[in-house]
Amino acid sequence: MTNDFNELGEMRRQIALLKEKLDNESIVNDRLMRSVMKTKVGKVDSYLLKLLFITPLVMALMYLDFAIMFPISTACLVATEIMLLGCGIFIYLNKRLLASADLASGNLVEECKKLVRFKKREIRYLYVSIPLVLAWMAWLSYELLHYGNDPTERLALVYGCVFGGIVGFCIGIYKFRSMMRNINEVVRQIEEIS
Amino acid sequence: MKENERQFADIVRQHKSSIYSVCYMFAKDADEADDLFQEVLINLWKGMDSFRHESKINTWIWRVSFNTCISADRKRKRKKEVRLSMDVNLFESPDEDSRQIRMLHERIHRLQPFDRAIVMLWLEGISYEEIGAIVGISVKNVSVRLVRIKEMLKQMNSNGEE
Repeated sequence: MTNDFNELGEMRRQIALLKEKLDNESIVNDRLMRSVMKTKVGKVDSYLLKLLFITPLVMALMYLDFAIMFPISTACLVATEIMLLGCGIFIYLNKRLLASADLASGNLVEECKKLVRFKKREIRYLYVSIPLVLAWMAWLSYELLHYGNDPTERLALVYGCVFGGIVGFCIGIYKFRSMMRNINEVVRQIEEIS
Repeated sequence: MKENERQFADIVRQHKSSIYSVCYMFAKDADEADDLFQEVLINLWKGMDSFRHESKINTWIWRVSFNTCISADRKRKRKKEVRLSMDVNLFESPDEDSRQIRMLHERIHRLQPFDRAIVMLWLEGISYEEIGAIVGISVKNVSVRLVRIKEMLKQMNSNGEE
């Protein structure tokens, strides 16, 4: 009992020493404060924010492409815009789960649950979006194959769409995997310690 | 400086030793302690708007400090944009006080991160209720963990003596 008291008493004295030493040190400077205040939100959060900004731009670009430059059927155009709007709404809703302030100051166990929910939503979104995108690409290719009278132009449009689709798909999967890696790492660390 | 920036600077200056002591206990060297300190300040700044004074400011600061240090990604490439103007390196100074502090660091560092947080708060004389609120576990869980931590510390000490 005495030993126990001595050890803990010693540790209390040591922590008081540490605090006293730090109180007398200048560890906060103006440059540090400025740098801290300029800091933006976390990696995943900022990626989702970028996507959120890009969505209306892509919607406008699609409208410009398929309503004015290479007009396709209204049904296909509306479906394209609805699909993009759906993506935007999903990103917005999922981004709300990742409020970085909560990640820093919230209860770690609760935050872990939120991250797992975020992950599940993203995976479901991927499973739903892949067949949807494939169906949309098939529909768009069909529309473009019946566009205008010049077969070379038709083919160029289809090739362009297919190439763009494949590049977009690869970038999307790469970003998705890196986002999941970040989330998994945080979830693993929280699970390890709680 | 805007009002919220001034308020933030005041809070940091007032609580710098508590924040830095958490970073010190979770770091392996002075560079890592500085990195963690900067990371905690960033999270405090980001969380300033969402802090609604429902809990005490001390509780919030402890919580942000521990959460940041516990979940910090150690593998991440370090950014060395801003250096702290810390004159004394607690990891290397030869004086007796620093030696005592290093002894404490060694003991606490051998514990699991979550247990480190609990024992540090307990050493600061914080109540079980508040410790529970900071680390997000029940009061009963705090007392159970503390008993286990004390046992571990005792065992470490006896192993050290042998």
